[in-house]
Amino acid sequence: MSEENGTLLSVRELRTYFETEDGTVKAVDGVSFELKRGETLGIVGESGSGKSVTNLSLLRLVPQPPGRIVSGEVLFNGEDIFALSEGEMRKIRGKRIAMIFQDPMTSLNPFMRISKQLMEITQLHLGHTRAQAYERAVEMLETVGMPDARTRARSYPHEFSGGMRQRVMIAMALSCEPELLIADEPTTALDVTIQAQILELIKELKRKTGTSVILITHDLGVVAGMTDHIIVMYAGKVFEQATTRELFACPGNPYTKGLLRSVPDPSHEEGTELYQIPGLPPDVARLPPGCPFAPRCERAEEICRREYPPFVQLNHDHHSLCHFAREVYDKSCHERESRKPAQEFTLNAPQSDSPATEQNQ
Amino acid sequence: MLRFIIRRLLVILPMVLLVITIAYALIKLAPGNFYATERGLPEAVERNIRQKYGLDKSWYVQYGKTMWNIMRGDFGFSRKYQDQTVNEILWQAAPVSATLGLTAYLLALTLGLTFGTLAALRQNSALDYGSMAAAMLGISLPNFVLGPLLVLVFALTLFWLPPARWEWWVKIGSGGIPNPRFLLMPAVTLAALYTAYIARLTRSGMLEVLRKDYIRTARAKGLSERQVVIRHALRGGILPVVSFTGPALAFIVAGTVVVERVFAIPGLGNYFINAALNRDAPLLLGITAFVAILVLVFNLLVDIAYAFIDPRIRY
Ligand SMILES: Nc1ncnc2c1ncn2[C@@H]1O[C@H](COP(=O)(O)OP(=O)(O)O)[C@@H](O)[C@H]1O
Ligand SMILES: [Mg+2]
Repeated sequence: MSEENGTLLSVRELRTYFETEDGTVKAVDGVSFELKRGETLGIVGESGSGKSVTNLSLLRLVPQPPGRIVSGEVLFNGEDIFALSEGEMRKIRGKRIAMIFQDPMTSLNPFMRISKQLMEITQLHLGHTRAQAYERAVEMLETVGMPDARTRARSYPHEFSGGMRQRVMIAMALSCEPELLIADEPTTALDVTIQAQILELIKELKRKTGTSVILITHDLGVVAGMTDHIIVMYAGKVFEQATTRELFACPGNPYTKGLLRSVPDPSHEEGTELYQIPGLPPDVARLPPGCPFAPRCERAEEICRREYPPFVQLNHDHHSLCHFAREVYDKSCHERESRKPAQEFTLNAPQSDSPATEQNQ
Repeated sequence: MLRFIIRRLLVILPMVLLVITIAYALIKLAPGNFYATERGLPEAVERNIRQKYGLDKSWYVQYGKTMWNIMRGDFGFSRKYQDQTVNEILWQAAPVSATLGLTAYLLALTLGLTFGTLAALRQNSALDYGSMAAAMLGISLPNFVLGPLLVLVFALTLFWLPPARWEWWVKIGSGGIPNPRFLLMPAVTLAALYTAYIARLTRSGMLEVLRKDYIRTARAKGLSERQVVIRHALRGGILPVVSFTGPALAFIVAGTVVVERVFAIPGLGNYFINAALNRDAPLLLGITAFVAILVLVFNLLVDIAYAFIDPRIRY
């Protein structure tokens, strides 16, 4: 089961619903994907598209009620996550699958020294004594680039900046050497320069430890230089799924194209207004019968409003949920041919972090 | 922190003197006096009494003399209990009230925290609705109704407990260990309201904390639900209860006045009512000063406790 490049995680037809006063919110509605050992998967989509709920479902951390995992299968190392007892599940959380969250300001316990918050996890999962756990905590803080780690371990979260807190979160998440790290919008709440540092840190630690990573973001620009595969989510559904290179080169879905257009382009001049997909994400409690994106889609036709779109296979490893997937795909591939240099630049831009952003605060 | 404590302690003295002054003014403005009888006194006798107690002097001389003595810790003799000084009465009565009040508060804290936490953890369950309904009852049932009701059931019908009075089981100084048979009903009567308040505060505090991101982090670490609640949630969840402790003490002091009357307990509250009825000015001032100091010191302790629980607070 643990062979090189085997499948680490396989999610099939996952459905997680919330019962609310407005009706059933189908936050995740038939999501499937696979993650190979050592790979990085990006999950992209506007806010409210079900990215967080998908990943909370993997750890069975969806608040219940109002949430409910209705159906689906999650295999982690071939083991059926939904068949585990609560006790067995707890042995996976934090130890084999670790998670870091969007807002480092609120994700750490404000009443507890960070040393204690770090020690807690290795004492729990690795059976460390207090002394061992403390040493491990300091070591992890050094690993994530905390200056003066031994003294600062005794601080409380409010004594750190946002970037430092996210480093603490990463230290905590990696202290049991998990097989899978889920990072849920780890940089959304941070300044741009700090964002680059945190992403670089995740990339570097991933290279060192070989951990698989799921990186969730609403910003395609963030995942460009980080991931092997990307899935694009909208209204609880997978709209497009492809390798990162392919997705950036030949997007096969109007929604993905919209997301790509809204990535800040460094070659653009200052002050030009950023593109935004018109309209708002839909209310997933009452979706229209056709394609959920149809009301906002430039390409939409009569059929889109009437019929639910098919999940079209465009390439060996590339699928898109659209009535006109093939057409959109061909068109973007063609456009790319005629505008190659500019596209190439966009794809590489986030990778070329300048060394200047690598300093600690 | 130390500077904060010293500053606060320095404020206590003028505050207490201010409270005493207000009490002094109210007593002076109230009609009636301690020596009046229904039949009235001969004029010569009244003049003698007024002279003996210095009541014939101008008001500022009287006030100045009283304040000067109080600042030296001397409240003088009671007007009613002529052979006892106010300090002797405080020495006798304070342990009774303190025992009653403290027992009631600890009872309220234990029950309130337990039921509040359980209600929050099992939101919308029978336990939740049950405890919150009981809490509503506790808040709306006044102690002068609850007390007699308990007496009626447990003392006068079932004969399980004595209906009134107070007994030290083991006597140490003027206090000691109370006889629980006498303590139980008054303590429950006094505790009911605060149990209800604390349960509701704990429930809403815990519900709020359990929604916080750091609780999700704690769960994602693989901690059990019990560890999550005890290590991570409780501390933030009880902060509202801690801030309530200051006002709660003031309420308890007010509550003891009623409860000690209902159960004929020789505590400060009972003496206070008698002193007011008898226009016993020195005793009134003594009890007022004592309670004022108590409340102020307690509030300071609460603020200190707050800083210990929440590291973000620095004075
Ligand atoms: N506890 C909850 N109760 C009700 N609805 C929820 C809850 N959590 C999430 N949702 C709904 O599920 C949908 C997906 O949310 P989420 O996964 O957080 O989106 P994303 O992470 O992509 O921004 C949203 O419509 C949101 O309103
Ligand atoms: Mg989210």
